[in-house]
Amino acid sequence: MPGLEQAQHAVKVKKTQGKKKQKCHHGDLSQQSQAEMSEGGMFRIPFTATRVQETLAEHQQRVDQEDLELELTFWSCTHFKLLDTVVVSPFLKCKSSAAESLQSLGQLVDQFLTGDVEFGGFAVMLWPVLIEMAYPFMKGMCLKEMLMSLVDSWVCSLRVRSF
Amino acid sequence: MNDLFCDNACLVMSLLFIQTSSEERTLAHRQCNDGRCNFDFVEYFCGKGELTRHLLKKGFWGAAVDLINDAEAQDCLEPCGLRLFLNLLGAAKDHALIWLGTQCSSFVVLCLAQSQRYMENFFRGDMRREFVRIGNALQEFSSLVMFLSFVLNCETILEQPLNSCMPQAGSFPHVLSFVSARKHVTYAGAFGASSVKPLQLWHAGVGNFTDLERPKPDWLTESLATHDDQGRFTGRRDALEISGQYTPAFAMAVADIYSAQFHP
Repeated sequence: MPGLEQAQHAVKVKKTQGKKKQKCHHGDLSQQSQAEMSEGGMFRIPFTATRVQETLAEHQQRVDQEDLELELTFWSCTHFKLLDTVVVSPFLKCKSSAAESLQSLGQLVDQFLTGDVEFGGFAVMLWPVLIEMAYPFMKGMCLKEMLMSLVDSWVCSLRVRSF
Repeated sequence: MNDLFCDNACLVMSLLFIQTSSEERTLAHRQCNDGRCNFDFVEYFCGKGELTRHLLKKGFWGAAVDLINDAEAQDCLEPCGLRLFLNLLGAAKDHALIWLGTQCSSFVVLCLAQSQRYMENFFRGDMRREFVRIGNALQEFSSLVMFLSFVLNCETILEQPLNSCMPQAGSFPHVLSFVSARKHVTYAGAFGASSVKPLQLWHAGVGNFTDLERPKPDWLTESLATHDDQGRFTGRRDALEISGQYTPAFAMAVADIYSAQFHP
């Protein structure tokens, strides 16, 4: 039912974006602070209380954006298998160059989980509870899927890393 | 309501920066690439944020979180706080310093009679007691962060008193072994603390923090506990609270060592 999935995804995107849009209104930066952000992204500023408020607003805006994208990515992660064969979802930000990294990541997580069993299986038993608490939409995923989705989203969306 | 709560969490997160504002110093502010954060460091369980203060002085950019900043929004045992804590890790760049000063109270020898943490129970202790369950959750969170930050190519340090059994509890032994963490023993007293306070620092990453090791400061006599005639000891609450904060000298040493290897 690919059509239905796409439709569901579209609805989810729309809903989430609407919600986030409301949350972001206080994250608008003043013209002055935007001007300060010139010069190649690096600048020095007096660390005053006013500046702190602006910094907090900037941070808030970034966190909101990240949350939005993380949720979208995780949502799509539930639709692909992260075991031996890595299928990159069309919704993931990782392009073809990340596939090799994903495979390496999968092997790394596998190695870790194999060892975990020998050490009592605490990670398998307890980490999903923590991850689910932070990201309820990951409920039902196994620990490997959770860890891979989490890292994959961070690596692909937030920075570049080769394993 | 929960979303609103999360918003506040993100705002309150930077309380430390407000504290530093009174000093009117300048801060090298690195704009995030693509509108995303690119933290040089994340200090978990930062207390009064002495380490963050010195990292900021060095020109690094990052975040510091602790329950004492906001009892609800920065509680990593609550959904919103936990999400904030994990998102911060995701925003850290390669070789970012991830510092875990996890609360040690339920893992130290001083609480052994109550916590009942022994090898037989994998140092998980008497889980009928709430402070033990909280300790276990904090330990598993720290363990998870250590694993994730290893995968993310960060420099992670877990700081605990030398007599804390946290590194032996739950999933930590396997994580520390898997990430090839190196143990450094040092003394808070060697960095200007009023008591000796031996520390164990578990470092995972490509950096080198050996320079944090110091000889035992034998000239210090102040103890964090008092002993009775039968050999039982009780912690001195005031001294323990003071010893929970890093001294400026210790924080400066960490910031110096880190900045020497990973320039801001």
